Amino acid sequence: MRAAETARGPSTVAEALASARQGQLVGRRCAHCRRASFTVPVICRGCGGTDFERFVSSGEGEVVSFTIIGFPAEPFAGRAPYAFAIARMSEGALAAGWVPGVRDPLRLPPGTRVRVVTAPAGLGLCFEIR
Amino acid sequence: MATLPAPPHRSVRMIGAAMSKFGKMEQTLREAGAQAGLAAVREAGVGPAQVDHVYIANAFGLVENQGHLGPLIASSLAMDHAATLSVESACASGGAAIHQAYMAVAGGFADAALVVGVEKVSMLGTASATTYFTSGSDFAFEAGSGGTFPGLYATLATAYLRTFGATEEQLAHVAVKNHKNALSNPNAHLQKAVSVEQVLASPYVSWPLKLYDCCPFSDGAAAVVLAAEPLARDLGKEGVAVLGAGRAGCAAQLQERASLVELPSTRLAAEQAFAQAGLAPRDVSFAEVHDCFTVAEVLATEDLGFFPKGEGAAAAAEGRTSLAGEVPVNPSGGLKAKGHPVGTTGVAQAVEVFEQLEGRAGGRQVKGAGVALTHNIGATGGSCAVHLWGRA
Repeated sequence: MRAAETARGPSTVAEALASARQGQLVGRRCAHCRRASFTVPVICRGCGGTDFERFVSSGEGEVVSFTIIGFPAEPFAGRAPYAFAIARMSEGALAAGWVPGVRDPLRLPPGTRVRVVTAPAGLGLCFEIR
Repeated sequence: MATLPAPPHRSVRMIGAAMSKFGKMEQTLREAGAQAGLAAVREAGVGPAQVDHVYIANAFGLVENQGHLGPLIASSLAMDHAATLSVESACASGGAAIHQAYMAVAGGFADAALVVGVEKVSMLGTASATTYFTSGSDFAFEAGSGGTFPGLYATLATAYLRTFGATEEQLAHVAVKNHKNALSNPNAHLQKAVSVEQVLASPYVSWPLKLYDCCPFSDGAAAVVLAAEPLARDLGKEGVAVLGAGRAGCAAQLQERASLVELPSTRLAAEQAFAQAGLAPRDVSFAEVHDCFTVAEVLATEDLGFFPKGEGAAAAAEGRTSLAGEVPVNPSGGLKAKGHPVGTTGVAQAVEVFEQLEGRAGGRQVKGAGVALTHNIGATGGSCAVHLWGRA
């Protein structure tokens, strides 16, 4: 058995989604070059490696870009407006999440520090401003 | 990266093209697709027996509980024998289907191929259509965390505006231009002039993108016939030559990309098409680009090589992409105003090229057009098709 499949093995999409619902961001880190990702890669974009380790993110990151969503898709009906943000997490990879209740773009200048929290109604990956 | 197809592959010509009016469509997908297909084969002068392949570009056929659209539409057109294939590449389905047809004809697997784009979403309503559109994103990690299709492009827009000091007003000029062009397009969904002030005053759909920065939800169908040059000659149809064909991708998710101010798939697909054609961006008379949102047109004009990175928004505001500008962009009105029936869009771009290069585009005619470019993006760039066309 390869290194990446030891312990609890690499994270899966199902585990990543279930963890997000509980306010925890789980990712895969390449066992070779250490590149992190939160989208469950099978071949590492950085080095081509295929061995991954599961890791739990610190949950802390900084906003790289964002929007304020006015018209959501059905699962987020009644939640708008809210912010949707791409944040660089402390492990180096970007993660996408929503920031409930943020309707003013001035609240999320570049570099705004965010942390992963448990989402209302378990909806996806959720950030709050630190 | 793939090398270019080694000659000799066959020259391919677009010899027929047709589209429905975009907007709200009562017909089913089968009826609308077959109607457009009929108009295109009539224009081409080919009979059902001469069509070897039928490609259907469609993203949301299952809204009608109907898969396997290929045989359905081919059968309506008495092309029962034809090899059919449904092509789903989100909003780039049309461009991808044309690329499939091109490869089949250029490679000698078909002498004539019919490409039909067809889409119908108007019966869904805004919330449901918004949800369907997010299925082109990473549904688990983008849509699942609140992202929408406008929201993902708005995230790109925020990065663009911040990185280059561009403004919402500059983006508004893209909408103003495309709405103006669509006034001369009888098939356009939105036939209404808008001012910069109206765009800026429209409500935010997804900050910083406002209602008039966004394409509408449209129904519509379009079809083209691609034929090997000998068949086109036999039919007495000059049509329009495919000069270059490129397709490429980039990371599906924004969070897996090194940059949020470019769509690398556009650059890669364009490089392929330009290299095959032996042409450069300065040789292009006009371009139909994927302007699902105003910022998308700006990114496209940079990634295609018309303007340096970071200068596309200013170029639009200065009129350099208007009908009278140095490189007219979206004379049809683009997705923004002509409309964006998802799977149909890439096929409709080729229809515009056909009408322009045949000199039949009326009030939106680009004078002296010789070389045209079509650029079709899937979702936020995960897939892309770029084609170059000419009278040669």
